[in-house]
Amino acid sequence: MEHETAQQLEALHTDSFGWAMHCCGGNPSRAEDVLQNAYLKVVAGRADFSGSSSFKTWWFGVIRLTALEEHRRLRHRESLLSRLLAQVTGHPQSSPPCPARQMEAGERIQELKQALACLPARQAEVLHLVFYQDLTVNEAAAVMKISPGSARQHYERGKARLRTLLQSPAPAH
Amino acid sequence: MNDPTDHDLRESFARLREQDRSIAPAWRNPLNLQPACLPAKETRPALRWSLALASLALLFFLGRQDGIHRPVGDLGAELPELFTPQGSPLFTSIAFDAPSLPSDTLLPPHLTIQLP
Repeated sequence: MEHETAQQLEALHTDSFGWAMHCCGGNPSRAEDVLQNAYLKVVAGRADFSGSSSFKTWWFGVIRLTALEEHRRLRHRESLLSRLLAQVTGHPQSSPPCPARQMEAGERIQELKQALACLPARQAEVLHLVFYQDLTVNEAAAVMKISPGSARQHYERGKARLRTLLQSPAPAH
Repeated sequence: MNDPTDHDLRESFARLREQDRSIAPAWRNPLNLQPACLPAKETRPALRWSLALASLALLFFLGRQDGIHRPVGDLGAELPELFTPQGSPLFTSIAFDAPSLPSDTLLPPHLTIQLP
């Protein structure tokens, strides 16, 4: 990997972590692992920037693919026993955010996270890429490996659904 | 994609981004990770090959133990004798003069066909 690539990756590091967080369902430790594995792919030459798209678009595609691979690997490793244990103890399998962090986070952020979790994966992805990462819908389509028309449809539907969810009262716990 | 009506959503996502940034891990140059991490990737094929070779060696050893590779000549010599002819040949007591008699000589007289 060249130093120029390393500099570009460094500039995108925090945004990359945010995207990895989204791809990992908001789990910070998994997001960190995914990001690390994506970096290693670049270092080992298994992911090479060809220049056909912007660097950010290409890099986010690599992170997304790495997160999908990681997700499949984790799902494969999950034993029936661990699932049963999680059901018995009532704890979700992903590590829950610590209470202090939950308290610090604003209510609206929590609402947004919950609303995004309710959306179909494609809609949530395109909204994250457009509003969080400031990509265009076409760039988001390139990251998601779908057509621009399809991305536009997910974007419009997702936006309308997200607004509805954010305006509706939160369900009582 | 700067729709002014999406200002509320952009604001919400900006807050989320700020929160994520606060918990983002520090940047570590991947170039520095290379020596530590790449050998792990290369050990996998090596491990696979060594396992395959060990399996082949085990199969060869077991094959030798079971006699799979023994020569075929030895096998014929070691077979037990299942049938050994005993006594004299069959029908030796019957007088049989084949060239001078017709084929129905042994039939009873009433079954013998008399041709004119």
